Amino acid sequence: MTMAYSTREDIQRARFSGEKLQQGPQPRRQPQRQFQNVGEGERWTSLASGAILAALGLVRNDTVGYVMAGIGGALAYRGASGNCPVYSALGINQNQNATPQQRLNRRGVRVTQTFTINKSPAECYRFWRDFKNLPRIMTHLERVTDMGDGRRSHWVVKAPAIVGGTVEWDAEITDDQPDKRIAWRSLEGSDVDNAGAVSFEQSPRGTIARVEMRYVTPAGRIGSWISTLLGENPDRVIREDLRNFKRIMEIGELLTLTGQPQGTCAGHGREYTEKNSYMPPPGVTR
Amino acid sequence: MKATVWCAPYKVKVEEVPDPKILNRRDAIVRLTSTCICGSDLHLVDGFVPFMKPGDVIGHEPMGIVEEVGPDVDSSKLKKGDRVIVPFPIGCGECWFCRNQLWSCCDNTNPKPYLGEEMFGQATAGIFGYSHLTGGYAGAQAQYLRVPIADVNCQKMPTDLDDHKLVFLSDILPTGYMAAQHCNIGPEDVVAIWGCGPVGQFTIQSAKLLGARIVVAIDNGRMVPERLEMARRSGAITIDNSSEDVYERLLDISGGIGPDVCIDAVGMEAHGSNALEHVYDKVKTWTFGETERPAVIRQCIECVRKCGTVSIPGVYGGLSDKIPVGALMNKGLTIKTGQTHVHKYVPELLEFIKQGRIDPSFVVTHRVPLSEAPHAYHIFREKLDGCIKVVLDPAA
Ligand SMILES: NC(=O)c1ccc[n+]([C@@H]2O[C@H](COP(=O)([O-])OP(=O)(O)OC[C@H]3O[C@@H](n4cnc5c(N)ncnc54)[C@H](O)[C@@H]3O)[C@@H](O)[C@H]2O)c1
Ligand SMILES: [Zn+2]
Ligand SMILES: [Zn+2]
Repeated sequence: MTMAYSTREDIQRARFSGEKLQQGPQPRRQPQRQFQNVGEGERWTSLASGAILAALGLVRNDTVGYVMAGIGGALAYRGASGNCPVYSALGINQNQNATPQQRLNRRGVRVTQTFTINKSPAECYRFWRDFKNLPRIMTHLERVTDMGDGRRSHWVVKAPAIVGGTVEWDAEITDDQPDKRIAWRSLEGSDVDNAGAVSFEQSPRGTIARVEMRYVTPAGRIGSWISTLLGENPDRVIREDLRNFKRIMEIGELLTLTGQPQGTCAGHGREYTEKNSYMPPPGVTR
Repeated sequence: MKATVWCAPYKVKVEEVPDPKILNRRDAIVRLTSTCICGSDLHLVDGFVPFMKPGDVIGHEPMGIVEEVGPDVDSSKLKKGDRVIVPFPIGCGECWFCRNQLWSCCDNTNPKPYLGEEMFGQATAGIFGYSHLTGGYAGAQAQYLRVPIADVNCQKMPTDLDDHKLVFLSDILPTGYMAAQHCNIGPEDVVAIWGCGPVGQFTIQSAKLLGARIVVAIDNGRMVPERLEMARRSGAITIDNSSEDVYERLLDISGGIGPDVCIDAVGMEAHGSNALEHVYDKVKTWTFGETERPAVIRQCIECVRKCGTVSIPGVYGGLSDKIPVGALMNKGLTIKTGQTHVHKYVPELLEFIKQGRIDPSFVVTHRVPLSEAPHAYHIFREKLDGCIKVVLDPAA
């Protein structure tokens, strides 16, 4: 596979030369999943530990638990299929000899995601062009404010106190084609250098929305916090953001589970356990 | 309120939990009058579905009275006091899948789609009380249920018919119907159905209704003679797989051709057709080498006639071993499957019920108070006391 990410140098060159981020459909950085890049022994360990981790993860009643469960599911998948999405994403192929270049640590990150939305390109464009709406779909964004000239905006991301409470930058719109495409990028002096673009294309099944984001993780505390926030899989974060966009456009809100009934399994209520009630009918093995 | 809670494999409890509240603007709260235990719940209890958390409220086959509606519920479609059944998959009515009547594949109602995408490549709809893979919604074996996008998901019911005639519209009646309906059954056809549980019973009735010439029902006559007896009452020829060779009998019944349609209404916990196969699958599942026991799918593929259809309403969740893909390809088979698109079938089936062409209440063998759910799980799982379908009474 080819290295699809841009390096810090790439993104900086783009910033200073005013070069546009690529338009239209991108080769997905998400790898083809079909081929086997995990060694045989490792596959079985993956499958077993994955299933266990997934189960344990769900036992925890918190975000960490879901992440564990997700990783567990992925491990089980990788064990079963012999393909590891994370390895592929990092360009690591342990089955064949990976080139040293494929093993390079990424510094700049580029992610793209695509969804089809049952609304017109005009409606999609209108929501997105009003950057104040973006915190509704990008869960880590606290607010985006207009700086008055219609092209520049100020972005604020929630961050823990050790990083200073917030991570902020000013951005300007670099391309604005009504109902088709919006691109933006951060200005000099940002906490995080980043750029993004969204395009809308009419299709028989609705509007195809494609988002592309690039960012360079800075050195120091902010950088390491961003790495934890976006984790191994920045695609996943951007994907969920764009999915939120689809859902808000289609059904007006995001369905929540917060506040729904949940049991405790504590105490001695009536219960069914296999131990106290297992009675196979005669002659039946299970 | 009281609710049935999953605590660990082989362990369910009835607990006092907080009442559900309106959480989204198009939610409704339904006070349940009947709610059932399903064969699918046994897969949770037996630990075959990994994405469960202790304390999850389970259950997905409810009906009741709308008690409260959120501010954005379309009042021309749903009001307080309406009598409704609630389909087990949650639809949005707006995405491409819902607009094409593929409700169980809705894009917008599963709040944890990343789990499904990791496991299956794409995530399916949210489902009530059926693990975090399908969203982690609190389930329906409870006194009250919160229903999201209520004006799309609550299906209004007439007031002059019994709960037991209507409640199965939430899942197993459409499931049996869809399993038969998407096989294009014709008047010459022989249809063979594995599993005479509640889903199998409704599949038998649906195949008859859709004009099959011969319907054959297969189950274990030593463990569940009452289920084979019920199948015979619906007009099926039965095969007792504890004493008869299923393949030979099917060949004989179909004039040496094989059934045109084979339907797996058993799912991932099938008993193997011989001891060796059963032990093989058990060992493989214990060692995480496969996640389920696909004995019935194997048999369906083997028995079905050339260029026939295999339909799989039985639930599978992960990875199976030794599926005879050579037979599948060389015989030119069609596979039909899926979680049921319940909303699509409700109007049609409700009409059949009103006309008296189907009376779904015949599967009910037990109606017990919700507080007795642990006992009900016990008799349903162990097939004791002639148990075929349990309806829980949330008010008792
Ligand atoms: N697709 C859907 O949307 C949907 C909806 C509801 C239920 N289901 C699934 O349908 C399946 C059946 O549900 P149910 O409520 O009838 O369950 P059930 O457990 O009551 O019935 C299963 C029956 O299969 C029989 N059986 C086991 N191994 C067999 C074999 N090798 N050959 C023939 N019969 C065998 C059992 O004896 C039992 O009678 C389950 O897997 C359930 O999850 C699917
Ligand atoms: Zn069910
Ligand atoms: Zn939908």
